Amino acid sequence: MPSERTVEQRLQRLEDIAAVRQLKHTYAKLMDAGLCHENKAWPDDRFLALFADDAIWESNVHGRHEGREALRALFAGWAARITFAKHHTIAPSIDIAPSGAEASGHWYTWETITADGQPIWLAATYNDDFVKRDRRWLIKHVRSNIQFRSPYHQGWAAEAPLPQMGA
Amino acid sequence: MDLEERVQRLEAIEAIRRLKIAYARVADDGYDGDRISAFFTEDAVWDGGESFGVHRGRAAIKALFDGIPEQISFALHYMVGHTIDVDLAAGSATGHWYLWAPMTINNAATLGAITYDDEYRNIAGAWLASRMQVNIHFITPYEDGWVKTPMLPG
Repeated sequence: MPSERTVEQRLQRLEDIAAVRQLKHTYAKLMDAGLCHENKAWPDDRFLALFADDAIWESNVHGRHEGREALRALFAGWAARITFAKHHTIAPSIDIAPSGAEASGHWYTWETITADGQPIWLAATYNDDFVKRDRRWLIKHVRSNIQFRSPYHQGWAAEAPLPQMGA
Repeated sequence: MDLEERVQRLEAIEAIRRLKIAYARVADDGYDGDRISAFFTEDAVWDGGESFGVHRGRAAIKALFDGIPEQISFALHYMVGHTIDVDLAAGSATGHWYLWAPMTINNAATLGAITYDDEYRNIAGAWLASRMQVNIHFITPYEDGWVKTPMLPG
């Protein structure tokens, strides 16, 4: 690949892509571990530390939540209803900005969830933004676009694939 | 290999990963034939075997994808586990992918388990697909499952 950039800069980009990929995986892993835990104390500070202070989490189903305390309340609402979750979060497309301090990424997620005691399929894509602060990548903006959220026994072709989830 | 070649190889793998995921995203966005065929070389082959047929050349691939939404009204292509081998000197590469695809076909929830054997070429600095061999393991109505109905008829 012809490039004006130095080998060092090109390697830095590849390392940043890997770091952002691992950040998103850590988000999924800590969320699933937290939601599944018998003695739930989630979201904990370790999970919330993945986000920038002014981070935003929004989706087409859950609305928009801005700032770490708003995120804490949003996730606590999930923890009250969800007893099992696996976020199979895959196929990242990650772009590192020329500054090297900002990034964006697209993922697919295939989720198996138990909510209110019921098994659910959830299929979504993410369009997320990230910032690098003090040499550490943080989640700046999660945009989840939920394609379907369907009871396991019903499948996703029924008329109302996106029942309201509440907050 | 010197450092330059090692970085080039990692960049090529990342570019080919992005190509395949871009293909998946355009497919999920309504299978636009123009956009999807742009991921292929002019002489590319999309080989869907007995189920989907063999389509040779960018124009044939465009026509194939333009016709798909008549049957498949919704699909999510989850492109997962992959191996990509690059021959930098030859400007070519091969790839193997797993695909997990929840779909809505003729208004019924459907699951697809598919693998790909792909070939890629570097054309003027851009990686394109020169061959996709689509290996269908099952395409099953969700309500049936893959033991009862491993391959959707028609």
